[in-house]
Amino acid sequence: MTDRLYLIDREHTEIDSLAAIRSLSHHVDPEHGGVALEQWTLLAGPHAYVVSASTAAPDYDDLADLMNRVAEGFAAPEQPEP
Amino acid sequence: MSAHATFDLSQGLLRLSRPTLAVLRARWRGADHGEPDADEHIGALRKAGVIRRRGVHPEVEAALAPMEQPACELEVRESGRLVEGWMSREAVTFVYPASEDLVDVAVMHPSLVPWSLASLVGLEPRPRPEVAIDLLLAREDIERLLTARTYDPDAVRGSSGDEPAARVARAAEGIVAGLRGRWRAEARWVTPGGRPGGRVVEVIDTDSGLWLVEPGESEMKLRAITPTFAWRLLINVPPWIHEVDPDSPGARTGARAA
Repeated sequence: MTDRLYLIDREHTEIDSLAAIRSLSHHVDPEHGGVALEQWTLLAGPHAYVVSASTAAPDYDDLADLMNRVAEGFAAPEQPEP
Repeated sequence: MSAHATFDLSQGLLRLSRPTLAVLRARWRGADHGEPDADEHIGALRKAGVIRRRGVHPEVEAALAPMEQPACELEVRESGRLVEGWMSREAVTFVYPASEDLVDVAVMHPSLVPWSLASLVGLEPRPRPEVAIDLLLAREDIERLLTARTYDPDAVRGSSGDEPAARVARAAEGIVAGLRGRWRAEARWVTPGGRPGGRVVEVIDTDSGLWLVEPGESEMKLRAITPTFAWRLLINVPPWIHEVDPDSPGARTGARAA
């Protein structure tokens, strides 16, 4: 069971004024143990972007705010006019 | 059930009756187990390969060590089910009820404790509560809300004091209508001053979201929280190393005490 991705939370949010989905999950790295993985997925024109940040699971509470600030700073590249 | 032991090394699964586990723990620490039919338990443990000619199997020893020398003890209650845990800086052992008579014993790395607690309480995505306000009510009114699935409108109010009654009612009705259960995760330890230390997270789980139960001076507060917030709380249930008596056996061998 620990080898599966365990989904903790999923919510609609915004990154760079674009609709995004934030998810928080947990998985096990054979070398480092429990890992918390936070991802923001968004569509910008024809492209999809995923911003991912991970940390040792017990350290997530210390780093979550920083990880969120980094994700909020993501800016999708400008799309050329068709 | 009296004596019972099965040990599947490939799955890391140790299943025992509670009396057999008591005998195993006593034998490992070299104490008198006091069980009247100890030979029967020892026989079951030998047959399962838990006890071998040279002593207890090393995989089982790894599970017994935190139980005998914990930096903290864990207790998780979810819908009437109790899971106990013992945590040292090197490992964590959980004892799960497998049936009325049997328990499963599992040992893992301390970094897996947040995941273990989360999966034991069934933490998973939930919508945000439609009415995300803090509610104040007496402990007995929470019990009534959870067991009788009803509430007294006069006994529930918003924590801000000027919350419209209709919003308070919608929040309380959302809990009653979508109630899934409640869970509680607790850690207990001995502080450096030798006093009992501990931390508790108690949550009401509903279809419309999670509500943290926070004790107040005279009332309880129900606070709408996200699964992410609950995860952060679960991470912080075990103690930090500076919170634990350095003379606790489990604290000697291992930034998180556990």
